[in-house]
Amino acid sequence: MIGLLRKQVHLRTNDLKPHYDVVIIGGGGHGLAAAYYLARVHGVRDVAVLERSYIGAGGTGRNTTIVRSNYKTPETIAFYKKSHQMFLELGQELDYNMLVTPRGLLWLAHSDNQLRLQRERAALNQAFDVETVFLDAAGVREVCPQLDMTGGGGKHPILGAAWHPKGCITRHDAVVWGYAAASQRLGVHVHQGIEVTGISTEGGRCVGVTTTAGPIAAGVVMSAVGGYVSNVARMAKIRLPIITHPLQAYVTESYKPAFDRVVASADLHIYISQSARGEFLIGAEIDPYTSYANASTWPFIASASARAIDLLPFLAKLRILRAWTGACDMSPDYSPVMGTTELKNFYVSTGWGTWGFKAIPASGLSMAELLATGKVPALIAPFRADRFRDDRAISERASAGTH
Amino acid sequence: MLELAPVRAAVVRCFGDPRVLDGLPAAGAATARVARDEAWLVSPSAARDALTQAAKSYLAGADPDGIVVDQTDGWSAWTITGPQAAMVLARLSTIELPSQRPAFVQGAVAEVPAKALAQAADRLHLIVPAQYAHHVSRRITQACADLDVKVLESREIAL
Amino acid sequence: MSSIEFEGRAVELKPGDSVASALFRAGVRIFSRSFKFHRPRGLYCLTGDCPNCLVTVDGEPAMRACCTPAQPGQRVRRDMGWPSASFDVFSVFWLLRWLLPVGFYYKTFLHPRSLWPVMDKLIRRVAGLGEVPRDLPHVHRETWHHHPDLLVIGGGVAGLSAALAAAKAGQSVVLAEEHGFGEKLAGGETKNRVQSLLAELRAQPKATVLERAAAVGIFEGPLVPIDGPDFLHYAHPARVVVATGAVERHAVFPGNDLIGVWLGRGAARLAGAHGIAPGARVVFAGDTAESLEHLTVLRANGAQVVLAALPASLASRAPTGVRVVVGGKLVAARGRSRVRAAVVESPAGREAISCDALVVSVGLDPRDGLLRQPVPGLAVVGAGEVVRPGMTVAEAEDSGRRAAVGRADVTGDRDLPGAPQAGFVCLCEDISAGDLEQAWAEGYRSTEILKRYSTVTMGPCQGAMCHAHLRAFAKAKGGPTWTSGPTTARPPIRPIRLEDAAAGLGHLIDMRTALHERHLAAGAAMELAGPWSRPQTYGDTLAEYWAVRRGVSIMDVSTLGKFLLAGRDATEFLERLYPCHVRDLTEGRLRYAIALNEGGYVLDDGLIGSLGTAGYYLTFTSSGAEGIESWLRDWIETWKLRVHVVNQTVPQGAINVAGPRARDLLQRLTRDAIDNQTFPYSRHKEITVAGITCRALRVGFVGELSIELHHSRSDSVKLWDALLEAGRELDIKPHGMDALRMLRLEKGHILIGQDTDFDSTPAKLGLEFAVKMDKPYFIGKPALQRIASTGMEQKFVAVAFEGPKAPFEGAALMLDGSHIGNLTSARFSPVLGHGIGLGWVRRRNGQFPTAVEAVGVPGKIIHGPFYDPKGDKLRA
Repeated sequence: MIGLLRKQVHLRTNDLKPHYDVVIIGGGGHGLAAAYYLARVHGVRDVAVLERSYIGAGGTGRNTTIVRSNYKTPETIAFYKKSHQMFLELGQELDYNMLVTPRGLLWLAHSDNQLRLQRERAALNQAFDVETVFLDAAGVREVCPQLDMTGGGGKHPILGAAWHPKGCITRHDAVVWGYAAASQRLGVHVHQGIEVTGISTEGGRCVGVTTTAGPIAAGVVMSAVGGYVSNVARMAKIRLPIITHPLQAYVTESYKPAFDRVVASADLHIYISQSARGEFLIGAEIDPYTSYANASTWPFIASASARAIDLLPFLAKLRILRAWTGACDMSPDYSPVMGTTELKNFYVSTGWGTWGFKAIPASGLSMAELLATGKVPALIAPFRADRFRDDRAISERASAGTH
Repeated sequence: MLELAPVRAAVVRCFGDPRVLDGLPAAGAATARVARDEAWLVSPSAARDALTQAAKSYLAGADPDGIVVDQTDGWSAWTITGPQAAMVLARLSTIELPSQRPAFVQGAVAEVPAKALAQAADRLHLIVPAQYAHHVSRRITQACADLDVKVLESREIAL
Repeated sequence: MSSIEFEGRAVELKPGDSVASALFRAGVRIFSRSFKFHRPRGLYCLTGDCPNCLVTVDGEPAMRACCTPAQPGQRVRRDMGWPSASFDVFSVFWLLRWLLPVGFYYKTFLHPRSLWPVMDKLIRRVAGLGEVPRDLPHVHRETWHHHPDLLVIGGGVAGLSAALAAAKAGQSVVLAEEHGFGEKLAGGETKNRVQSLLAELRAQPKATVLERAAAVGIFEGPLVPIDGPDFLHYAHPARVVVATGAVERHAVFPGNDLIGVWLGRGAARLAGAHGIAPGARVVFAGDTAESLEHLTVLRANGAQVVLAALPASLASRAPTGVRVVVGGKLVAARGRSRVRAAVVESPAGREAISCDALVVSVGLDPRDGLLRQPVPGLAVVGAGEVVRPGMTVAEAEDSGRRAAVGRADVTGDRDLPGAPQAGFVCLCEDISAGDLEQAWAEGYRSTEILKRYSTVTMGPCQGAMCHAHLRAFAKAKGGPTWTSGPTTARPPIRPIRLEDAAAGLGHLIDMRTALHERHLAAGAAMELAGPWSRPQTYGDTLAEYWAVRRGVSIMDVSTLGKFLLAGRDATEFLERLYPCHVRDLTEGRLRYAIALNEGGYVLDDGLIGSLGTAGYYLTFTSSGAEGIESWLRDWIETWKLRVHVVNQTVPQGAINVAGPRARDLLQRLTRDAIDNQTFPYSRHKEITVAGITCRALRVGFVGELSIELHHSRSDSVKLWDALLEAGRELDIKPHGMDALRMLRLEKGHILIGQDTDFDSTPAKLGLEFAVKMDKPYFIGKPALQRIASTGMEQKFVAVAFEGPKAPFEGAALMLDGSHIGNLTSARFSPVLGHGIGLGWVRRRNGQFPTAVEAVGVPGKIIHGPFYDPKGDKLRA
């Protein structure tokens, strides 16, 4: 209540300095979270986050807002479990309501292959203390009675599912604004409308950046850029194992609450939830080509609709209101790429594909530790950029990252 | 009204050097150049062996690296007749039929790969991979339901 | 008397009625309740742009009553309000608005922790517009593709003129109008012109006219899906003319959302098209050129206009009998839920005039969402009011004609309204000018962020009413240009039902072998294995299994990937492609081979058979085949080798004859020599079986003597029948996928995609035998050399479990109570009498385990196949 009556300033405009201890490129969730934890946990406040557009313009403002920890390897489970826990307390931490709403997540199995994968997911999760349970068809029907168990009149019968009751949805923009406001309160500078045009080096070390507002010297630089990270890598003259694909989603018009689960199907490459605003949010898999294009395409809208109707027939009469597109930085194993690079004092947090939003708190916390101490925290050590050279992939591919 | 007739058609696929294929004799068959290095010969199924032999003889002389494969069994075909024959494509495909006849086009029809030989304003032959035959015939009758589709008995393709 | 049913009462219809006009005539004034404050809302724009008249028609919510033709028997009710829209308990939120400022939920409900989940549920229950429709029959729609020279979107004067000009010039034209032609017009000259242009256009042979067909967006191509009443039309035009007209500008002033406040065109349409006066005492305030027309139409249809505030340029031409305030400015509307008075300011001072309808006409904005969608470089131009709002009929016709022949008007810079001071900016989301001020003060200082924080433009109108005001607000604040830029225009430009978007899609496209009907007739339960329909079991999996192990069985393996590879570079090609030796394969020999990608990871597996000078016969897995064809072709082109690849997967059927008595069976049907000396394991030869030419392959997937008969697809049924007939006295049974899974597992055979991950190397899989590192090159060799020194962290193993229960597939493998791997395949083995599995294990303390446990069942890690480890049975 006090919150409403008090006059608040959330976001401030900061004056650009010519030098910072830490420069973070990219004002999305990952960059802002790293800035926040640098200030909050490590007392490093001479930090600038540089965003070329408005904060949260990229993936953080475009995703389908699902937070979960039901991953497929011990390394990713540990990471996402930490992030999930942080999300549940993030509102209090930042004094900004993230609007976290529990939904429970169902990953459907329509084939022998998926039955096995979802059983595997449940077994692995349980072995690492994440609550995921395998449900047979009867169990699925009980948890989500609106599902067409025959999968669109017999096309893809639902045979079972992995049920993750603690999965939730949240307000993605709140994550951006919450981290930005909280870090600015601690003295961090957040600059919007400033684009980084080059990475400055000296003697094999990164010493700053050049921008559309002039050069900025820095002790260390981190890229938290999503969607255009390959361009940043080119500026830094480093190589990253990343290719970028478009990912599309759409919302329907707003309806009264009618659906309180998140349903995903790896066989159908589709996932569905109803937001707090009453809009149904439908997403699918990445577009099969690499592109930076921002346009929505009709084949996505049409085919996602057909598949969504197969699972939840009542969706047929709902109306699509707005589609949008974002860019996904895909790694070969569908796990993130975090840590050091060939360029000293230049760090990277990328490869967030379709699995980046829910990772923001743990990613920010870990990268802040790296930036502050120069040491890679154990939680993210497996996600090093050069793991592919050593055949040490952390494979999340079989779980078909759609979100 | 549309008439939809399943037809038996020989499909002989010739692979070879593009210039050599340019000169591939039709031997009474309909030809379809599906790719730079691939040409099809389509005729009534009874002529499959003769067609294959003729093509092999030609290629053996002109391009010994080329090969000819009789894939008659791998494809299913229909002939659609009627003033609205072209509607089958208009309902099930983004393919635009050119105005001249005969014309050969290929692309997705009812979401599966297809070849279409538009012989006349009111006659169209459609060829799809055999594993999809059941799906395509059903989709044609569904999508053209308002045009009164009559399904005929199976017969040899008439080119 | 024809009527519709409205919330339990009958409402009479007159010809030409929309649902809105019928209800209004019957006295309905509250058409909806707003999203946040549940304020009562009435008819406003009558052009389908604002959210005020959204109602449920025949069970479907959020239908715009003003654009829904009234049909006898329709059932209409209002979407929101509890217990009813007329008396809505939640309208109390307006009184509590100081507790609910913009973004209130971000700023509160944090302490205690338990508070938000409770508030969340409450807010959700109150939010949302209509009810999700249940029990409405799902309509399967078809698509209809058009390839016109020109597509015209919009059937007003400009659009019709453009279409007609193109048609007369011999072009093929499609014109799509989202409502009824002329339906939104008040009447008079414009409406007449529309009707006559339409008649002319319909007479053109190459013109296709689509009515009640809304273009949904302009996509790359151009591709324009058009949501019509019977079909989802797809236009693939060479060029597009967008003639979607202008939206009347929403007016922002205190009291602007009261019932009885009308936009000029809305009031004029109600009066002119339906003959209904918007009110008995009308105040008019406007400065657009068409204001005078509106005044005339209103008065001609029973509205007493008590005052008109007009600029000097229009005042002199105002109709007689109307009190005109020259230079008068509308300041506010007063009333509680309905307008009671309008406050007008003039040089003479401020005056409150009592009225029951306030008609406002302050500007026009182009309805240009289609033009602003981000697909650059397409041949899309505008014509008519969408280019320059306020055109006369003649100007619009001329604009359309010129657009059709490539001399289109160029869209000018949009003029923004003055910054909003007070009143509702966003009707959909109940956002006031004050809300925007507060958001700005809190630091949300660009159009995009303001939009996301306040939700302005995010409602049903998607910015049609409010986008210009949002930009004007940001612009007036100063700041870099990008902070007041437009928000991204996104498709669909009109909401479209999921089932309509999915028209033509949603059909199961399963692939069927020639034996499909035979399987069904034999009682098989079919499953989808990838895209193929395959028999899972014929009713008794165990009996099928034993038939393979003890007698003879057949399986339809027609789905296997099969390729013919020929050409002078064929051997060289395969040497580079595969990690095994190929050159030494003489005619008639078969070799098991894996395909690797450049990372050294296994893509697929299968067989290589040499056909001598005729080339090679390659087999791959059923699910891998399609991908493999592209892969083969990519490498042929990359290396520019003289090779042809022909996909024989479907033209060649295949039936596997397996079991200790397989040879007995075949010897009854062939005269060719198939004894073990003439035809040993890993060979292939052409034989004739039951009169059918077959290529016989001695393979080993199921671990018994197996002879795979590859033949022409057209012979499949005959061959199948002959084998079953001849096998009758051998007690033959066909076996399906379930039995196959047990059989192959007992032999330890890997299933690509099930047992493997994207980074499975041959070493991890125990397939080093299939890799010859002494070859000069093969795809993946450099990668394998590089990682040879890093060692494996994970290994694929075979596990023999104790006892009769097999753990489930996917079970976690545990060592000393903690996770060490997972099972990818598992079954109970009837012939061995215990559970068996394949899976992955990690190192612990540098070592791979020798024993593991899964769901409490202990297991030993073994080497080699579980069944017939030496392969004697295969080689029989």
